[in-house]
Amino acid sequence: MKKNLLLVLLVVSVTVWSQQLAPIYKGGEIRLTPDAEYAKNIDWNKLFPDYNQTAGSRAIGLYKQIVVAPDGSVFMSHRTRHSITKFDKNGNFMKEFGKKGGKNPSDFIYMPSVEGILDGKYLYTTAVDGRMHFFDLNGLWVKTIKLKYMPLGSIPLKGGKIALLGYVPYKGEQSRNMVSLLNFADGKEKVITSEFEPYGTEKKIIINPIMYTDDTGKVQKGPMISCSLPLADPMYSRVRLATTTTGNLVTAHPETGEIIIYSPNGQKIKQFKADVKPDVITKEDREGFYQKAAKQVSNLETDVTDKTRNKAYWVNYIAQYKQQLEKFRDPANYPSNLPYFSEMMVDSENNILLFRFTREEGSNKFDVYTYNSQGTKIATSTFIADNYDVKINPSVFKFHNGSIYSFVKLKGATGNPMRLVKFDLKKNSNR
Amino acid sequence: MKCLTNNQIQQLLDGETPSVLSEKYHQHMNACPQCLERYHQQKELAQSIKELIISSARSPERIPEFRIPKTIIHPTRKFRQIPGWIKVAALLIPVFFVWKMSFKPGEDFKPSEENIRMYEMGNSIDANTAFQENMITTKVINKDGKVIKCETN
Repeated sequence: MKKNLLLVLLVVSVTVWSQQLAPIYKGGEIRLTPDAEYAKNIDWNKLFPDYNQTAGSRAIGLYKQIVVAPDGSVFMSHRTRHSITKFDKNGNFMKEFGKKGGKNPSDFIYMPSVEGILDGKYLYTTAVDGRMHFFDLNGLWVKTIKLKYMPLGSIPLKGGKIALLGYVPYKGEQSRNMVSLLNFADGKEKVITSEFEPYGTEKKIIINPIMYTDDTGKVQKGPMISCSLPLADPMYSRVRLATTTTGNLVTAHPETGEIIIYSPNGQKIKQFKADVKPDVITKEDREGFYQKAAKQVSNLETDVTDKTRNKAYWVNYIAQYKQQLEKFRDPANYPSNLPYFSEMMVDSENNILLFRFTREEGSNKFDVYTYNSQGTKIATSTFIADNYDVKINPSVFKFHNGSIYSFVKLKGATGNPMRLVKFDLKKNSNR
Repeated sequence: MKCLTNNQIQQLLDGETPSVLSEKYHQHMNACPQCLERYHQQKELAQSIKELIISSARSPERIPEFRIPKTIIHPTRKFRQIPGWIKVAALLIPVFFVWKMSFKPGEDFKPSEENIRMYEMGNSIDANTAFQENMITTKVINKDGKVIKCETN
């Protein structure tokens, strides 16, 4: 009798706990409230000295990835160094491990991205060259698996399985984007879905090679330059991956809104289409893109002075760019609508979240459509982060035990603005 | 006639003196006891030398053999005599090289600038990038059509 009572209590408590987030979503506006105790003693300058580091025009100091272990500790990888930082469950710095190299199998040849924790035991990373490194949760190297292609995304499932989004160049000016299941034990893969993507279909501005006289008086031929138009990057339309707490794989297709749930062995469990209306790209949107591009060219024109190196080249470059500026206004250079969502994530209670693209600049308000794992819509909500610039990307926005761990930028910070923050989700009381 | 020289006596003993002179020499020795005495002395000496040569030919002197020390070592004993550190090194060096060769990361595809940008894009696109950040990818392409620089702002 006592046993039965305990079992009933357990089921009730699990059910109640599992419904913590859904009621919050139903509340409409959700405030991301930072846990004041989390990482409160961190010296951010010491931790993120690379925050303003750039490579060309890329702010690589701001590119980081995080994963959260079952015990709440956080692992972070950086686009500026070949190592991984570990924080304890309270956000305190614990250690840094991993090194650049190539002679030892544990070395990182290319900068790693932390991707997930497999079966609660192994932290794994991927890199552009297809190497996947596995470490225990103390940072000790366990294994390296070399993929024959570049992984554009991955997610750990259960039972030693990892889902990978692979990019494989094929002959005939196309690539194969595939979702495969990798078996940790033997490194073998099973492709569960794939599609071909033609190369170079994105709309762009082309700057043809320019003959110019350089500063030394020598006649040079410049390279060809192509600048893609907004929304042209194929990554907008590539399939998104997430996992449930039971280790199932959730795939979501931004171009169709199709969501499929697979078992860790790749068997299809559920398929449904999100009843989301994708945003239309309006004339005003295109005009906005045009105005921004025109402003950039104008800024470049101002920057090119008599003191500029190879001035003749830049004058010709600007002239060619200006001639093609109208492409930003031309509807033929855009899809009719945006993808159905910008990102798909699964929270710690197995609800599926589809984030809309934002229009309001700097608002840090993110509309999100939530579904349960059966495909039933829960709500349309808005996440609001008041004091932080939040990036809605699963690499830096992780659900864990009802909270969200995120690498964010503190608004109006003096000095280093980058923070690792643990947010609690609270119904907005400021309405 | 003068007394005989040693050379003349020796020639006489060796039978190399012409018969005319030989008779003269014998006549002189019969009259000269000193030459006769020397003749007999030389004859005895020649005889003893002749006997020595003959006896040597019969039983020649045996030359002793060279006795080069020769130790036969059994192969197992030979191996045991090699110092331990050399044996360990001989074992470990090939093992080390095999290990290094086996675990050396393979020379696989080298990601291009474009690949790296594409890889980074997965972490770059977010809810703000469509309208607010206006992401534009710029590629610099050389005369062979190869992308030599690729950046997204």
